[in-house]
Amino acid sequence: MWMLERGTSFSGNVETHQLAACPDTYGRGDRWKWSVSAVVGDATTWFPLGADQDSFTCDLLDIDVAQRSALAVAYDPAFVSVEVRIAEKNEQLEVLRKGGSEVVVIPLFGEALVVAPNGVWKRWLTSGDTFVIEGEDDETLFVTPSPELTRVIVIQISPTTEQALRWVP
Amino acid sequence: MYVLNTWYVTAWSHEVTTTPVKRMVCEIPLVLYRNKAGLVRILEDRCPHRGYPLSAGQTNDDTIECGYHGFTFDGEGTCTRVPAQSTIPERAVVRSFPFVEKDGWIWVWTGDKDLADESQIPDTHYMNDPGWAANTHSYLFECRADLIHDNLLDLTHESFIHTSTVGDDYIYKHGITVEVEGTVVSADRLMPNVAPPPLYAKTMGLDGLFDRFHCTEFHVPNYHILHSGITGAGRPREEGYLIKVLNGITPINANTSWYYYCFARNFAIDDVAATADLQEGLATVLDEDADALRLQEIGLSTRPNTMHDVLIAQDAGVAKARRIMKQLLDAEAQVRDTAVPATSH
Repeated sequence: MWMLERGTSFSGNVETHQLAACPDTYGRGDRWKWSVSAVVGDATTWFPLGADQDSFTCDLLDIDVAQRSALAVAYDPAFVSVEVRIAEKNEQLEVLRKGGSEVVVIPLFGEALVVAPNGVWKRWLTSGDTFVIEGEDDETLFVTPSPELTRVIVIQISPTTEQALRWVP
Repeated sequence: MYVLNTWYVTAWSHEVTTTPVKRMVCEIPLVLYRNKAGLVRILEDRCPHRGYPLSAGQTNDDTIECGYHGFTFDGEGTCTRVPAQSTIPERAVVRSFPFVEKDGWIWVWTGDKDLADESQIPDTHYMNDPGWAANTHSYLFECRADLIHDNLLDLTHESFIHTSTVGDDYIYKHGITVEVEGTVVSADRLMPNVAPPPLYAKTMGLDGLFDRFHCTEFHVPNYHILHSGITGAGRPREEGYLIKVLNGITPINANTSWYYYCFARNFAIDDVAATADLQEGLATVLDEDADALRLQEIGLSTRPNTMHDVLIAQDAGVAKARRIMKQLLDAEAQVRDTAVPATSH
């Protein structure tokens, strides 16, 4: 299963907001496991309070702006581990998603093509879009940044305790 | 709470004549009628004099006369006659509603008139296109509109609720892909190399295995179009037997909804017997949904507030649509909260 949520380009005025999370909706009784956010200012202020967590941040923009903005990945290491890869222009990433793990793809700027290996589907992503892929079977994806100025972040999230991590919408 | 700045399907064109018709949309009582020129009029169904429903009165060309004391209003809601006196009271005004009549549906705008934008009416030409054959139904569902939205976005229920018609065991075994753009949520499922559903197989005159697909496209907050069909294995969808199911979902109140339904197909379009069979079969489908959602509404009405749905990955479209709905509701509430109250005496 995958979900593509079209967003607003990061190249404009970035506002702090959640891009993807598991659970994707808070306050419904599901235990928090991870979240990915666009953050203006101090990234740590956006992380869920009270949860044990590790985090990763990278600059959201490579241009000089008045206030620093970042892409922030926070996760509870008791449940998941996170591996982050960044693809620049013309650099194709082969992403093996093991069954029971999740992958989040976000172009920070520019465009990227995400393609299923059997060609069943493909989608162009642009800055601000969020693509979440999950499922119980292994699959290999190809993420190809466009030749123009592009940077794409690929976040692989794997379970540390349970057999399978399923995305909770 | 309802999203009001939007268009809701409120009647079929053929239902509205010079005889007043009453409807309730988002707890707003409405009266609909046509003037002699055939133009639809939609007013609040409540005479300002004493609150009597105008729908219990009668029309005379463009005007409607209250059946209680004869106050008369034109199509814009302006009072034109008070039988007991020659002066029209300043407050003798009935709210009128923008409307659009298109392809057999009459849409009403329930919010701020200044925001009414006809371009927001979705493409419903399948109901009125000679290249498509249409079956239609209207249903009163005894549930909140949200449950119908969830039902349409999560079609795995077909495997359990609609076993004799459009359901098959394989549906829930295939995952979905979800795309969200603006206020439109699309949940798509491709089911390769499967048998056609029982209800359609006969009409299609098919036997064997095909690629089946359905994609629910929810235009939050009120309209779904289901792009469905079957095609040859590995073949493009547009080559296949195509079905477009148009669903206008209109809240009546917190636990009752109107369901305006059109099933359009691009095959066997002149087959009268097929249309008759589908009319009966689709009524069964809607009966099954109506029964299920009535029971769900009862279950939810007694559920403690501390209990929440246990959503799974297949519910991604449901969850996203709920969030967009909440954003729309919050935005309208914010505007209402910041509005300066009118002075009254």
